[in-house]
Amino acid sequence: MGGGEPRGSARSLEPLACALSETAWTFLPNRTVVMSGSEKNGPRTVMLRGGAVSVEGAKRHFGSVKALDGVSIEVAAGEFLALLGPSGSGKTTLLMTIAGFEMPDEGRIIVDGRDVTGFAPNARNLGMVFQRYALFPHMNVRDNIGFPLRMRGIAEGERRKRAEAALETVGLEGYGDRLPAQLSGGQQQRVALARAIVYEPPVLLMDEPLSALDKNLRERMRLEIKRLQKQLGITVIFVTHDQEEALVMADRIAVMDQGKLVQEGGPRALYERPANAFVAGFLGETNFIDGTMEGLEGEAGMIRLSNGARVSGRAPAGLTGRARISVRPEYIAVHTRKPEGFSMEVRLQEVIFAGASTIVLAEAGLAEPINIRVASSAALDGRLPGDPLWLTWRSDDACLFAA
Amino acid sequence: MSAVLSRKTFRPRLATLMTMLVVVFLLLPTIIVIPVSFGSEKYLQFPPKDWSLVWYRAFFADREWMEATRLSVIVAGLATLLATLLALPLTLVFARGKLPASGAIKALVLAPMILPHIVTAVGLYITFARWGLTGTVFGFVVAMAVLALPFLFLTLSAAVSKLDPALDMAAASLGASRFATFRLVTFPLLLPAILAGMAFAFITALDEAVVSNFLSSSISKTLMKKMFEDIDFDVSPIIAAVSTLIILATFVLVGVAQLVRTIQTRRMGKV
Repeated sequence: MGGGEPRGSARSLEPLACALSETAWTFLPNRTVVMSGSEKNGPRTVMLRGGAVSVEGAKRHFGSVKALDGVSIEVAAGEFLALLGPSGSGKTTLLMTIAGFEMPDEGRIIVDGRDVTGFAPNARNLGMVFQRYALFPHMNVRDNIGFPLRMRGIAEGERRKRAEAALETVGLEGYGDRLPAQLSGGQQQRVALARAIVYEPPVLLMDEPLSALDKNLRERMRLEIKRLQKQLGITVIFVTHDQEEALVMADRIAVMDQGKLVQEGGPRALYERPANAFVAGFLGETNFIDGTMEGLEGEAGMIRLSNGARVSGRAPAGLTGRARISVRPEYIAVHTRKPEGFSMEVRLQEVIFAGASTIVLAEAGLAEPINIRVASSAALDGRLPGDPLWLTWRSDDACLFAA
Repeated sequence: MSAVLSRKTFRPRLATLMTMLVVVFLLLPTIIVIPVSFGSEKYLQFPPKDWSLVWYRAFFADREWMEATRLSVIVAGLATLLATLLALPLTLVFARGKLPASGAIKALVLAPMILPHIVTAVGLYITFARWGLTGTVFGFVVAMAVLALPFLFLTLSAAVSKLDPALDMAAASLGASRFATFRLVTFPLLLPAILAGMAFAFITALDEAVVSNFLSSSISKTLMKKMFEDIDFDVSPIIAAVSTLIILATFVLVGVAQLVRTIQTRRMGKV
């Protein structure tokens, strides 16, 4: 499938950048499209103006299951928000509620300043890309992309022009006559994207759009969608269960669990400062070790682990008693001699080469071995399983949570 | 090892043999009427001594045969339309899964296919006789629609269940109303299945004999009723000519329906 991709991602956006300055499209509240600039000069291109979305106290129950348990979130115009969570966390229900396919039991949905809570999906003027693209199999690419324009009463000739421009935007110029079945997965994905932006909606909703693609293509499409979103200035709300996808693509991530918004923030802030053990465990890899709090030392909280080691991490105010420390594998430093200050003595269990990095597993008298990621294992050359090692980390890099 | 190999080579041969036997036993008695119909004898004879079209000419020249044929074709056509108009919304509602007592409704729709025709025939006769509908085109159409409905329902249900529900959602998100979605997405995608179902329904309504026997009157009889009467009185090879025409019509209808389906599958992959 990867080989079938017709164009590199960088090339596909060049015509867009040129055309943006020539033609500007504006969406007026009464949903008429007005064009400024010259119609004859150059190809016209899709240009969008992002709209803000706000969800206010949305609740949705399915029987006794609380799919949405009072979710409020603000998405700024032009922002890329990832809704991240395990299956059943309510992220898809939230997206479907914004799209209008689910009605909230309580709460309001406001898009671009307009309360759309009671609106049918076809009256909301949102773009949506589905998991398996949902291209109309009996229509060729041009008619698929022209479909939303047709629904808006735009004439055939105009539809053709704008469909061609949208195809160019996603790097598939000249593919208008193909049927969806004649395209690769990645190409279908691009057509679905073109169809969802050709009518210049203020907001684009994406429901795990990359999950059906193979790994290489998925990683390329991540960057391409991200770049396209920045160029077009559209607001994107993107549902995913893939934490890496969320980290790479989003300006801001909202982590959901059991119908609730657990934490929201920039990818780095969430990764480095998770609000609780769920976020720490879901976003990236981490080691959880249980222990008992032994007070504060400066800004750092001290914890006595079940193996007797005394280590430190950032602690929320007032944390006492049973607690749990979370340390990411790449934040742990491995020493072959006992260093100054606090350290945890462990025994080498296994060194696993994983390409760009190396995984070191260390036995520490805990339920599970400690997982460490180092750039190079050169320092461990000659060490055998069972040899002593000392682990340290900056107390700012570890997080303490109530157990 | 050799046992495995020999079994592998044996299986396709057995399958081919079985298929050929089925074809011979099921199809041969049916198509034997074709050569018989082209004879010129006054009796059904196989093989015919010479070849001619006399019995076809006789069929087309006979006013009573023509009227029975006309009635049957009109009835089958209208019944097919009526059954389609009922089956299409019904299957779409069933697919959305929001219908109360859907099990009961499904059983009711499929009943005429499962029950012996004689039971349906007696039931319809008693009811229609009271309403004065026996021997009327309207009565025939309603009865045949009832009999054809299960075929359309099953064909359409299978096709609807294969439709990706995300297509409906995609259309709605792109601004299409429910009706526009039906007209531009659902209906075109279901069209081959609708045509196939209609072909089956038409053939079912055309060659149904038991119910039409009950509902026919002395002045208005269907083609099947006329054929039964003819066999009773004099066994003329017109019967063979009529049978051949019906076989031809069936092959053409089913063939066209299959062709439309094949073309759709070729163009769009498995939908």
